[in-house]
Amino acid sequence: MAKRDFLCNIIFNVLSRGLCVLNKKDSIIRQEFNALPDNYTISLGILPVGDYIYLLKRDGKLFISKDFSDKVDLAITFKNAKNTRKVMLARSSVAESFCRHDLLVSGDIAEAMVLVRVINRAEKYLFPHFMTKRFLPKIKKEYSSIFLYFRILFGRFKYKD
Amino acid sequence: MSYFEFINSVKICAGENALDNIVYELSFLKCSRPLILSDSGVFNAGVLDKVIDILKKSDIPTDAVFTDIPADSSVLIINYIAKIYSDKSCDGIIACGGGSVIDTAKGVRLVLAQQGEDILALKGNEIIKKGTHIPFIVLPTTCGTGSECTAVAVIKNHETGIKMEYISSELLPDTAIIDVRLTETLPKKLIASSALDALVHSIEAFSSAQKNPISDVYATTAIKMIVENLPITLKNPTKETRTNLALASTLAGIAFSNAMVGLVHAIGHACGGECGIPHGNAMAILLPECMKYNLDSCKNDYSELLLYLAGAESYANTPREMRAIKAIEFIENFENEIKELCSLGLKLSDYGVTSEQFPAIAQKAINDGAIIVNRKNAGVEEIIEILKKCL
Repeated sequence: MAKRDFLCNIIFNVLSRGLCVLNKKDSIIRQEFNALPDNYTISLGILPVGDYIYLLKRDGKLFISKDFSDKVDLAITFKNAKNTRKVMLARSSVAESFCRHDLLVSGDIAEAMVLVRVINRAEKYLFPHFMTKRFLPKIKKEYSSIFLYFRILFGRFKYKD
Repeated sequence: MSYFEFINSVKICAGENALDNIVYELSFLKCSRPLILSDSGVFNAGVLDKVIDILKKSDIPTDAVFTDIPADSSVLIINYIAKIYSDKSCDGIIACGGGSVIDTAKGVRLVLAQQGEDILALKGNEIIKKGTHIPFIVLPTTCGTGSECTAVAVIKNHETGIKMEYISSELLPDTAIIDVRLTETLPKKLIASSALDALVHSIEAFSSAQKNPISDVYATTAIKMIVENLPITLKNPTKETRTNLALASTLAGIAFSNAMVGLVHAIGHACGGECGIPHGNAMAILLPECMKYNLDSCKNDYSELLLYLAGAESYANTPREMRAIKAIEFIENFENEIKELCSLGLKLSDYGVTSEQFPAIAQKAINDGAIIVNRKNAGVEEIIEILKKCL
């Protein structure tokens, strides 16, 4: 059985938790997620394992959820761990990754564009500007990155039925 | 060199009497009972009859014909045709028409190859695995979409009204037949708008973030052929210039299938969805302003484009720092020349668009898949500014 990439697993968790917090704290990210229907499900993963983490939008909030691989609305799957790390550690943009055919999209491409924009904006919070300035313009942050990391570490994000 | 992928597995049969080889191509693909797909425009213009005559002479059954494909290929029609294919025991598909017919046929073939029932279940980017082989021949009747050689299909979701993009190498046909007999009934305006669409495919492919050395060769060849042949085709068309335009469209299709398109297409798709502007016309209107917007990010590519647009002498006589701007000026002058030859509308207002529609267009455009490969980020505000300049 294929093993999960340890570093990517951490990165996906940090990103997903970051998105859950920013959905509350950043009006632009909230507005983007609001365009998606309620009970919308997103998975992030890497081949050959497949899905690493699931996000669920319910009642306007974003949660990290249990496995619901049979009803994912939008699945973003990277072809290999090496290129995933490049994107998730801000050494390359999601757009550049798309251009290199690094990622597979299962679901509506228009909805995938929403996710691309929120990941781009989340990266501006998660990384210092000098790391992302090559491919992302400077943004006016609505929340402190330090507080964001604090919440990522100590917040509760799991969805409970 | 940065990583890239390139695919074009389509056999291209182009030039004199190419259409007559359809019989051989069908037998090569082991297809004896094709489902023939077309639309009422192609059927009424008598273009489909030319194909059917050739098939009949070789005793190939021609009773499985569907000519009611609408202007926008849709999920419903694709699922319906897939059922007809099975009911009539067909063993291959011939698509004779423009972008909608070809995209519909691609969708039908995808459903059948994946042994599914609903095209909606297959939406996405590069997720589809190799399926059963369904022989698939495409006969393009316009000189713009290049869809005969693209791994992309645009299909409308009847429930949401949104046009969805399907991207997969499994969408590529087996064979494309480029024969002047298929485009000879095209009116001048349609020739102009479809050829300008192909020009946009080439320019966006050449300047996209996904460009690669192989797609560049196809894009630049297509640009040169369109610039040389479009004005002549509108003034004094010959078989050669018409064939060259159709071939240029195919080359542009191969280029953008691998390098993708950009901002012009993202806004153009939204203009089509929101205001019903014909695709080729929207492309012609938006191209110069989008090039101006992208200028600082695409300066080197646009500079190089001048060589293929205006020729070696003009390129050599233009100072290096002025070449990109000259390329945009060349496009503007070229489009105005085409406008004079066939009264093509080059303003959004020519198609009844008002500034009140801009926010909705811009919102749709930022969700279009094409925007991700545009070199320069563009948000709602930037797109509205571009639209204002095109009004």
